[in-house]
Amino acid sequence: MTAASLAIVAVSFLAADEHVPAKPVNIAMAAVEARRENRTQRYFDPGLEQVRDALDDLDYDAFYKIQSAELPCPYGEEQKVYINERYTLYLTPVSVREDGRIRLRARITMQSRDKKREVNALDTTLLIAPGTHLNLGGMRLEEGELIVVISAK
Amino acid sequence: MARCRFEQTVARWFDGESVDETEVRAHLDACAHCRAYLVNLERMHTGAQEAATAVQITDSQFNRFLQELEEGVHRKRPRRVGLWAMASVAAAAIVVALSVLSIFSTGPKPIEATVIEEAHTEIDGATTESYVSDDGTATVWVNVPEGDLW
Repeated sequence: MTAASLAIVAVSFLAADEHVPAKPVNIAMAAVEARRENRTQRYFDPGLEQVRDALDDLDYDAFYKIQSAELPCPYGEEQKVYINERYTLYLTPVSVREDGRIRLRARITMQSRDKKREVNALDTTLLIAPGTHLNLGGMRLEEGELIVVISAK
Repeated sequence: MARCRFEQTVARWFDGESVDETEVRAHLDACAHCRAYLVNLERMHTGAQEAATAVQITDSQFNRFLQELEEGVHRKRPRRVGLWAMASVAAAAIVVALSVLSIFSTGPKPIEATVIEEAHTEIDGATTESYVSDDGTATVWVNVPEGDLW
């Protein structure tokens, strides 16, 4: 009987540990082109104030805004966010843990120059804490590198 | 049964109050109802006296009384593990389980840092790396080989 009680408690804990809310989560993204321009002072495009702290540690001195958006993302559904003609961001909120962290799959696809092939330039799954930033970066652009800053609210 | 108006006089005479005894006796000789009433009064009187007699324990019975009293105090009651006992244990287990659940589920757990569970790329020759800085910002980076654009 004691074992049965413990099993009930354990199952309750496991069931309560992670769940899929019916309400979408708001995710903000900002796509940035980061460049090394040998500036004496770092430059941030207007509109990047919200993500400036997230970019501070990166070894670039100029950040140009490509795209930004904030969109409600239903759990279990993949949301497509256009970045530019080469890159597209896909976001899939999976679930929420009891501590508030959101399990999120984020991938950035890339088209070949001839537009005949599309690959996952980056495909990642993570537990993101609400209010913190996630940088997805390193993809090449014409004059710099792509950084996509994501935060869940 | 019809009552006789002389009942109260008979009752007072029976209780020893000062009434004309000659008159009462003459009436009793003539009235069957009051004779029956007098008989009932005598029965009730006798019954009340018997009921008022207290039960006494004699000296010969007292030792036996104390002995049985002591045996009763020290006698072990037979243990009966029945349905109610099992039900009580089950109820207690459920209460404990719910209490533990309540304690551990009180309020949300503190939010922990972002954790990168997996990251990979399909770009030929590229690798990924990830880290979380002190301020909680997580970074997943693709290291693309030099000269390999797309």
